[in-house]
Parts: sequence; structure tokens; C-alpha cells
Amino acid sequence: MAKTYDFLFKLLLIGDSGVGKTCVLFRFSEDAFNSTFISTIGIDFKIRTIELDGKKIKLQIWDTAGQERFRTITTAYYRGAMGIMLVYDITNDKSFENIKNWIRNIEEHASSDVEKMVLGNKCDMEDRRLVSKERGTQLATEYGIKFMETSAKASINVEEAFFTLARDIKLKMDKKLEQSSPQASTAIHVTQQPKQSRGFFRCTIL
Amino acid sequence: MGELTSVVEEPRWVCPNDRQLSLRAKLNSGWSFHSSGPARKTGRKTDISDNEQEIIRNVLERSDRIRQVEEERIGRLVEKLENMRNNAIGDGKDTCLLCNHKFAALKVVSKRCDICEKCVCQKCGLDVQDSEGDFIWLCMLCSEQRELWKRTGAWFFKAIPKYTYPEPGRQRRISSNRKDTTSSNSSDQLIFPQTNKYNRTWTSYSKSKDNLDSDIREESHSEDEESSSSSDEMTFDRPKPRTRSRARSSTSDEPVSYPSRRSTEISMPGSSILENIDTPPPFRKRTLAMSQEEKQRHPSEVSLNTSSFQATNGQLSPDSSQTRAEPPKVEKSGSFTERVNSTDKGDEVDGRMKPLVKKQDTEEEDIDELVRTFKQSEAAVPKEAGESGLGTVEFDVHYEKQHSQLQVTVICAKGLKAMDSGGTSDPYVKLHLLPGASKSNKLRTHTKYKTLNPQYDETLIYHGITDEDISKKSLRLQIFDEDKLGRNSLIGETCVVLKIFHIKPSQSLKRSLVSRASFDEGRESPEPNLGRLQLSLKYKSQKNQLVVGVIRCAGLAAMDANGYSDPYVKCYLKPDAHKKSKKRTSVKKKTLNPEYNEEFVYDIPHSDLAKKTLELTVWDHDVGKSNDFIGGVALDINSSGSSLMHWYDMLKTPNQVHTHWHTLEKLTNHEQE
Repeated sequence: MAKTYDFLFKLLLIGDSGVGKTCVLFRFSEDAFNSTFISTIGIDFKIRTIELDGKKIKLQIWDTAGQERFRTITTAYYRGAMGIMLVYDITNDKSFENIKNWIRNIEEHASSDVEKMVLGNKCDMEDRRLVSKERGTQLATEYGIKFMETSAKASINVEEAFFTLARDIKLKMDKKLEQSSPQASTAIHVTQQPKQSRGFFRCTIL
Repeated sequence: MGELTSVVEEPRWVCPNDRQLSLRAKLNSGWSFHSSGPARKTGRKTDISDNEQEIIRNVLERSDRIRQVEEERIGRLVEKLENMRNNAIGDGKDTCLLCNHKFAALKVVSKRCDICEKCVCQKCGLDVQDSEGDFIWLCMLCSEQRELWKRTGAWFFKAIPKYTYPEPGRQRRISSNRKDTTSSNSSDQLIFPQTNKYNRTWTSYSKSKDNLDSDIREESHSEDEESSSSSDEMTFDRPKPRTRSRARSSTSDEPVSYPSRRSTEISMPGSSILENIDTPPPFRKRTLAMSQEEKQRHPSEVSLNTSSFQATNGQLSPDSSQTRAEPPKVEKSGSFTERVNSTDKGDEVDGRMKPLVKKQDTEEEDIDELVRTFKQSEAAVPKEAGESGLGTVEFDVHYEKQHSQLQVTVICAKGLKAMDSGGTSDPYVKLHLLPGASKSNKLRTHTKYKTLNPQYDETLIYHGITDEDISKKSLRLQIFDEDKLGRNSLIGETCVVLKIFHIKPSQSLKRSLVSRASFDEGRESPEPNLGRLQLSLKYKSQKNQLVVGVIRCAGLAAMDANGYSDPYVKCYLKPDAHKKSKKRTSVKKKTLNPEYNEEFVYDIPHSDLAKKTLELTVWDHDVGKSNDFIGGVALDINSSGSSLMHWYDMLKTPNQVHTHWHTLEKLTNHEQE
């Protein structure tokens, strides 16, 4: 029997091919690193249960292929995601530029309530840096998203990033329910209505 | 292969912004050389190979397992809330909504819940701090409801996601929103208005041997509880007060009495109180048994027997019990309206702790004893039991082996619930043999008008009943209120396992009705009965068209009295605001194996397809009546098994015809007629 948990959060990692999505996830889920590049095929996911404020949160983190040829598959997973990590590579300017496109992609396919976060990965490779931290921060504030520089290899900020995202989702959840639960209970009565009209409808047919 | 190029050709998933357009003009390259550039080039030549498909399939299978665990978890949460709801016995004005405690000026202070605005006593509610730091007072029901929305992810998806009940066969009642008009406090409350696709449930679980054991033990609980003392009879029914005490005294005896439960939440204030509400022990057993998913997914003959065995178990125990108490089984078995006419129990809180622990010890021991008592109780004539408020029914059942007949004499019903505005009902009795309820095995009495105590004295006979039927089937007796306008509404029902007539072929029975007997449709010998559907799918990438071919059906369930159906297939591509995608085949008369060979074409871009659900439903056409739903199949990215494979194959290799057989299932939220 699986471990018990209080919440299941579904997260998604997106970003250009080769920015290190899989490595970030691998670091987070297994606390390990593999420097050989194996392109993700379509989709994959990893599970890790974390604890936040005494609650056990099971994170199902979907790792997507950055390659365009898998795009139809990967976009299908946007909708169910509660949180999305946008990953770029600080040694690759293009991958940073593309974050905007990825954000637009999210706007198009994901739920509007989705929590987002930008990660500038490979921050251990200071000597090959092309995207300054300031640019990252600026982009993130432009979109009102949190931003972090991470390194899967050196294990910098990976843990923090996922915890931050999970916490944000949890906060949003608490907020959201405070507004919506009264509606939820009043909405119940609506379900009783259709029967009447249905009966009437049948009568007219006969 | 190479069909996938069409997908790759159209990078419509994003439109470049102005800046990039100008950049692109300068560079004379695409907006993303890093990802889409090379991929696009290779994409033209390479498809997603078989190998890669296999890998993706494995991932999907893995996620399927996760989803099942999740669905079961949600099912447990939903059930818990349902049980709480059904045990709320007060009116929320002069008495506490939950425990029916009478409010008195000094003794019992009433507090109004900030959400439902019903009054509860201080024990049945709690202060919750919202994000602004303000405290609001919530009754247990509302706070549990809130918790449910949190835990299930409903807050995000705006409806409770798809779920399965933890106990086999206790899945969501099928088409409950259509049929059930009986009681306002039934589980209908859990069906939220936006029942979107996440609400779909059709995984049915059947029983394994272990579950039988647990059921017997479950029985042992109720029995034991009743006998232990009359003061703790409420232990199961009303978890709240006990929980409260537990939270207050902050004892950590929980791991002792229920070793398998988490103890982490004990320290949590607020929601922990909800968390601590005891999952009764039988529940825990079920959880353990669930690890045998494999077995459960392939139900066997054995499982069928055991499940019907259990059906009576749940049915009979309330009647046969000699105390006022209701065994926990009752609330679990779906008798939603049964309530306890409790006396004041507010101060006995601490006394309840001991019997609980004691019960644990004894439960393992006298299983044999209990099987015996159970068997006796099954044959016994129950005492006058109108606790449900729905009424009782008296009937004789006689199994005549020589003529292979099952004669059911419906004598009378008493104290039925009034369904019509005049304070009376127009009741008639309808019989079904389960599993396999359909019109072909339906019998009914005449309707008695304007009465709550109808006298029928009618004998209804099932012919061609074999010993096998007797050992496997159950008789369901439903009392309906005839309604001239519209659908007849169910007053209550009861279920008899026919096995008992093996020993004693003629019996007089008197049963109290429940709003939904535990032998619900979900347990009817699981899906294969419904039939199968052969389907072809093809995506034409040049024309952006999805071609759905309905080829044939086989072994459909018979819905008409002549032993056949007049089937047709409806095809629907959801979600679809204008319902333009609804299409249907012709009706094939009087057959269970219709051949259609009809094709439907949908104009839809490939990229949108991943978000759609293709729903095929098979219906029995009836003249002058509403058509009967036989079964259906839904294909999308979230389905499982052959449906997923088929859908997936279609997405991955366009311009190719993919033909598959699908087993029809009882879709819960299929499109109504």
C-alpha cells in the first residue's frame, strides 16, 4: 500500500531541450546527478513526498521533453498541472529568450490558477554564463513569477525551488477555499432542479 | 510511418511576439533554433519510434497506478464526509446540527457556522483561522467539506476529481442524479454542479477472499459493540464527540488502538481533529486489501458470491439487532437516510474510549461465532423497523425447484414515505434479479393509489430459475412512487440474497427499506455483461479530420423484454460547447450483435485532439419511452487500458486506421439523451 499523504500536487517542468529539466528533477527526487545527456522521451514523472507545515504533500512531478516533436503529448499535461516550473539554462541565451514563449504556452494550455516559477539552471557554470541573474529576476518580476537560480549538478536551490512552489500552491489553496466554500455548499441545491424539467419534457413527447 | 510530420509542420502551439518576429526576419531562422529548429528538421524524417512509444506507454501505465491510488484516497475522503453527513441528526436551529444536542441557555451554547449558518454546539464545530488571521467558526461538516475540497484537489479542478470507493462495488451510484429523488440528505449533496470529466468513475472493484474476512470482522464489530454496553452504542455512528475528546485530552492512544493509522496529525490543531476521526477498523482492513489490485480488477466467480453475501449482511443487521443502535455497517452500506434516534450522549465522551480498545481484541476471535449468528439473523424475521423513515415491506419468497420458479408474493408495505404533495404516495413494487438488472428481468405489481400502507397480495413469478441463479443472484425489491408527470421516484429498496432459499425454499420476509441497498448497480457482475464495441479511429492529417468508425457491437446486454435490444451508438467529442459533435448511428432492430460500419468525421486540428474526450455510448432504442443506456466507452488521454492505447495510437500515428475492441462500461457522466 502506498504511503499515505494529505495532498497530491501535480507539477510540471517545461523549458527548452537540454536546459536540465530532467537533471533538476533527478536531483530533487533521488538526490543524484548524471552528467550524460539523455533526451527525455515524451513525458516522464517522478514522485516525492514532502512535508510542509506538518502536512504530507505528494508531489507528482511531470518531466516533459523539450523537443518539439513531442509537443502534442506534453501540452496535454499542462491542464492537470497545479504548478509549473519554467526552466532555462544560464549558459544558453536562447533558452532564456524562449521562456516568454513557454509562458505564453502555459497561458494557452494550462489552467489559469496554475502557479508558475522560473528556474535558471546550471548556475554552477559561472564561467560560461550568458544570462545574468538580473535579467532572470527582471523577467520574473515582469510576469510576477518567482525566480531562482539553481544547479542540479551542485545541488543548489533545487530543494528550495520545489518547496517554494509547493508552498505557493498550498497557500493558494487555502486562500481559494476561503472564498469558494460558501458557494460550494449553496450550489448543492442546484442539482435537484433538472429532474423536474426532465419529467416534463418526457411528458410532452408522449 | 512518418505521419507525425504533420504535427511537426504546424508549430501552432505558440505564436512568436513582435520582437521575435523582427528578430526572425533578421536572422532568417525560426524563433527557437535551440529546440524547435533542429527538432523540426529531424522531425520531418523521424517519427516517434516504436521503442519510444513503448517507453511512453510505460510511463503512462505508471501514472495510471498513481492515479488509482489517488482515486481510492479521494473515495475514502468522500465516503467519510458522506457518513458524517448522514449522521448529522439535528436541525441546526434548536438543536445542534450534528449531535442533536438541545441548546439551553447556560449548558449548551449554540454557535452559528459561518458557512452554512446552521447552529451547532461547541463540540461539533471548530475555530478556523483564515489567511488574514481572523477566526471563523465552522461546523464539522463545513470544515470537513472544506478539507475535502483541499485534499482532493477539487479546489483546483473546481469539482471533486474522479474517485473510487475503497470498498469493492461501492462505487458511485450510477446515474444517481437521474434516478434518485428519494431523499434530500442522500449523497446527492456530494455531486457538485460542475461534474466535469474528472468525476467519471467506472473502475469497479470486486472482492477478494481477504475482504470476506474483513467483512465478517466488520460484522463482529457491530455485534460486539451492541453487546458491550448500551452507553457506547454510538461510538461508531457519531465520531465527532469521541474525536473531540481525543483532541482535548491529547492522548496518543490512537496508535495503540489502531496501529496502522498515521499518528502524525495528532499534533495538528484544527484540521487534525478532522483527521483523527476514526476510520473504523473495517475500513482499515479494506485499505490493506486494496493492495491486491490485480485480483480486484479481474473479479471472479468467488468474488461475486462473497459480495452478495455481504450485501445481505449490510441489509439485515439493522433489523435483527436488538438494541437501538445501528451497526456501523448500515451507514457504510449506503442506507443514507437511516438515522439514530439518539438520546443525549454529550457527557459520555470519555467512557467510550475503553470499549473501543477492547473491541480490537475480541474482533479477531469469534469470527465463527459471528458467522453463525449472522446466518441465524439472516433467516430471522426482523422486528418492526421503521428507523429509516422510508417504510417496511412484507413479502414471501418461494423457490420451487421442480418448476425452476421463483415466486415472490408481495403482501404489503407499511409506513412508506410520502412522496406526493398530498402527503401520500402512489406506490408500486418492482423486482429485479441482480446482477444484470434490465427490463428483461423486471417484474412489478400494480400501483396502489394514494396510500402509505398499500396492500398488494400479488404473486410475481420468475421462470427458468436455476440453482446456479439461486446461489449467485440477489433479489432486489424496490418501491416506487408512480408519477403521472415525469419519472417515477424511488421510495426505498431492499435486497435479498437468494442463497438463503437453498436451505429453506420458502420464507416470509419483512424488511425495512433503505434508500439504496448495498447491492448497488456497481456490483452487478462487473462490466463484461454490457457487451463490446469495435471501433476504428483514424486521424487524417492533411484534412485535419478525425474519422471515427463504429464497426459493430457484440454481446450487448439485453434491455428489452424479448431478450434483445434495439441498439444504436452515439458518438460525442467532448468538451463541445455547441454539441455539434453529437452523432449517432442508425438503430439496428432486435439484435445483440449489431453491425453498423458507419463513420463520423470530425474536423479538428491535431493539437486540439489531445484535450478532447471521445465518448461512445450504446443505447437501446425504445418507442414511446426513454431510451435505455447500455454502456459506453470514453477515450482520451486520461483513460486507461485499451481505451488509452487506442487513443494514443491514433494520436501518434495519424493517417492509419486503428481498430480496437472495447469493453463497454457504465460511464457515470455520459451525455444524457
